[in-house]
Amino acid sequence: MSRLTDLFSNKRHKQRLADLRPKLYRVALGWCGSPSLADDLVQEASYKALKSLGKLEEVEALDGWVFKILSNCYRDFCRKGQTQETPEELVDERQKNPEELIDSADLMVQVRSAVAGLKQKHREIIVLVDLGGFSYTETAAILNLPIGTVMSRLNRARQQLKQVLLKNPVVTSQNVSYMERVK
Amino acid sequence: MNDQNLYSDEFINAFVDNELSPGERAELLSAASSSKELSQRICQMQRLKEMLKTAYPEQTNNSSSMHSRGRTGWLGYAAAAVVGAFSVFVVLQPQQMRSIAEPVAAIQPELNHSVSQTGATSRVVFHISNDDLAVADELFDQVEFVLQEYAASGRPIRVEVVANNQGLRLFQQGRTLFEKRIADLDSRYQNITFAACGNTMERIQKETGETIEVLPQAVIIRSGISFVARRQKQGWSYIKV
Repeated sequence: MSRLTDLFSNKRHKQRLADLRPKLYRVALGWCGSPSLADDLVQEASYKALKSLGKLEEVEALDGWVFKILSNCYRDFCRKGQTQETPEELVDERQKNPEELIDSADLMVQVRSAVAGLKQKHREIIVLVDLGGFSYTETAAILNLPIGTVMSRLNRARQQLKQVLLKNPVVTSQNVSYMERVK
Repeated sequence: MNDQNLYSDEFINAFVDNELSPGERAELLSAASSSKELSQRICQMQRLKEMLKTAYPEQTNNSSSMHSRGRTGWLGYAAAAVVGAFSVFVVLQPQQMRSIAEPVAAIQPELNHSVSQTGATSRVVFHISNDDLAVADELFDQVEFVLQEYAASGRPIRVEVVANNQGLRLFQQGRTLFEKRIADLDSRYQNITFAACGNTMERIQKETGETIEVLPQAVIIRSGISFVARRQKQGWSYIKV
């Protein structure tokens, strides 16, 4: 009976792990900036997680546990001194209004470039919070940090991104304002 | 010390990251509705968060090659957005029928009225871009809270609720769980407007073939993002929920 329970439990874990893959990739990409490296990191983390899946008792704890493994894989990569790939394109300094920014593929390059310019310890946190959707408590647990450190580093990251991405004042749009109905 | 200095950047971060208690959120929202500087600070943090999420779009599990799909997905989204930006939208409800080509003069006096003649009128635009039920519930709570508070104190206020991306589902006929609540708010308060993003409707139709019909209480605007950006430039307080 217990073997059967273990089997179902393991299956549930594996399914959850598979479901997590897009989120793992998004976070890994945010950290390393390279699609191919992000794929590698996710592969490595998934492999390590699968190997140790039997040790995990609560499926609810799986998310944080897997992201902790991913974080360790990324830190190992950085420690080995391997060259970190960054987006090739430079930040476009032209002023644009928010609509143009959002609608333009340039935004991706600008934002990714700005994220790549953050210190690793700041980038790890803002990516987990904004892209991973983790709470401060969960982020602190994944990175083994006090929650106060998470909050202060997150603030540093956002202030730096603000300097880079929002430093230009909003340009007045040439588009005519309209609304279909006003009460 | 003015209102905006009472709140640290960490506190505002906690707001945009949904880490505050309902009481703290309500307090900050109330302060922001009467402080342009504070609402701008909140807006900037929210914009950064949205920019980051937009720059790293969510992937699906259906692709064998994740990173190639990510690039295609982004370009597809950008292309849809650009196409949407140049298209002409006509609202669905006959009584609201007005196109982008129609002279703005028809509505401009009312806008001017709210800016100049009623200088004390607070103007708040709420923006929602996801259909999470808890978040949506909180949005309507906050909207109602603000409207009630201003009505109780006799202060004038105009509130707009703009929905784009998955947030559009909240205004979708036959799908939203908030139909009664929206109808109730709309009938009780003449100073609230619900606005649905036309770009999102067009994008969803292109990508999935699904035609979205919005509730009769909602108007359709061309682009939710450009709409809230314009509102900010016009001095509205901007609250991303």
